[in-house]
Amino acid sequence: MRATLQISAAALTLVGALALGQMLPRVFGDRLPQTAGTSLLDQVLGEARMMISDGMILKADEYYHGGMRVTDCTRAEAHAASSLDLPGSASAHVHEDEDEARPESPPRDLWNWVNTRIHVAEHRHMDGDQAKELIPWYWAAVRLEPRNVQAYLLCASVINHDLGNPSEAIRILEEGIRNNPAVAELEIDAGCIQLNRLRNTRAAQACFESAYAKWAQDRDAHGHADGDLKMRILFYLCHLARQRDDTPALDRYFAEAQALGIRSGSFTAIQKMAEH
Amino acid sequence: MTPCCRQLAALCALSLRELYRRKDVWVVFTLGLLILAPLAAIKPYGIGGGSRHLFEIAQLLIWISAAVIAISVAGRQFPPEFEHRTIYPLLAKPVSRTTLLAGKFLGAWVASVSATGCFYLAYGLFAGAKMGIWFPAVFCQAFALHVGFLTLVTALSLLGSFCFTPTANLTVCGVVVGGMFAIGQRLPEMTAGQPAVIRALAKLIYVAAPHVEFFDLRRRVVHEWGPVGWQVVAAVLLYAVVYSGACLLLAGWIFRRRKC
Repeated sequence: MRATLQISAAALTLVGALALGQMLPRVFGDRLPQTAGTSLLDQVLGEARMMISDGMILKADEYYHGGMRVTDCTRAEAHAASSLDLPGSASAHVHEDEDEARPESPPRDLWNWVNTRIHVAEHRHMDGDQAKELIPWYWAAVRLEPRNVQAYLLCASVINHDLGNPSEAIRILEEGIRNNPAVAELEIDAGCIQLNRLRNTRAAQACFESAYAKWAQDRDAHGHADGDLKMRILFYLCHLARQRDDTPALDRYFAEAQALGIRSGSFTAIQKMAEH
Repeated sequence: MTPCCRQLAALCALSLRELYRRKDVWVVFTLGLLILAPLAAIKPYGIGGGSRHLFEIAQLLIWISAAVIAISVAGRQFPPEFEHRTIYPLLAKPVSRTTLLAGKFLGAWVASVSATGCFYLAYGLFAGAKMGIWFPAVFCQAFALHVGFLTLVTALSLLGSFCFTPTANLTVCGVVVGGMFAIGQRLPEMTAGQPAVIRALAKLIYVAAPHVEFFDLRRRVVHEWGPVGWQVVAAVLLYAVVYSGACLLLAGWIFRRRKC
């Protein structure tokens, strides 16, 4: 009798627990600590995802420099001069004499002296087909954090420039755009590839116009926006307007560029296009 | 064969058999395969051919496994003998304490080197099959230096087994080896802005602690840099032998003072 009572009580408690389990998400919805649809990585890593994802980009940068961190590199000052030190960018820096990096003076610190001889003290740059070694790290970075726009941009740049596969680069940027619909940079890079590599001016125009719209949305949403980014968009839109002899559009873009009040290289180029 | 050599060989064989009977090596090997095989199968964005990330992970696994095996095998040599009182019949036989210590050290060293050799052989075959370059000079240097690392760590763990309990020894050796690996070279610059006492302490650690980072050629192997000068390799191996010798002499001194 007592056993039956205990089993019944346990069964009733279990039913109550199950009912509460079903009811709580419906009643409290978003106020619960974990919302429905949260990915496993989000639950385990939380905001650390972006940090780890950025770490993977750094790892790719290390690979690009032959396993060296630029900050550890004895020729780091050469890198500091270039703010666009991205793998795959055409402006890869050149060092005059890497051998100078190794100190030849008698050792003051014996351990450090041994260490510089054992470990690589200088760096080198990957070129051409070797850049495929970077892709797994970028891939892992965007799998871990799909909001890491930088990883998409770098990955597409490497695949486009170094591996010569602009179609795949476009596919990656499209994936980035799907995951980050408000980010204009991805549209700009996609437009550049469409324009410069695939020679598809119509698709490029669509990309830059979309980037322009996103920039405007961002300005409206936050009250301020990146002027340099708009200048870049306007530069390409001017270039395309000039290609199709659309003078009113060219004048309109030039007026917008003037209104930004930024006197950069892009502005000078826009000015020249408008004058012609 | 002299009796001393026979005793050393017997002690050595005992440690080797113990390691392979415990199946630690096979567990590590299987774990490595389970991690690397799926990674090798992935072709990110349909672009294959990238293999350095696999080599890097494989090298990291080899280093972690080898360090754990060396520290645990060396750390297990004496404590069970004292605990089960089997040290008495061992010393009652005509085996001197020095021979026993040397035999135990050699046994642990041979066991960890053989396990690491297996890992390196597998790595060499894997890298050779992927890249078409079989056992380059820098790879052989990396193995030679890894053996130097194992010599040092084995001696350190053996010394620790006389000073701490087995668990504490494992922890202390792990912290020392891991810490020196991570910040060994950067200790002086990391403490440059600290008060004089901390700077002096850091300097002492920097001078006296085992510089295990000297033995790490992973970056050269993974990123296909050229080999190190053989004189440098010889100097670093000499460092390992001298440091290990100091640890063993200290361990022998503690062992002789200990009442069994």
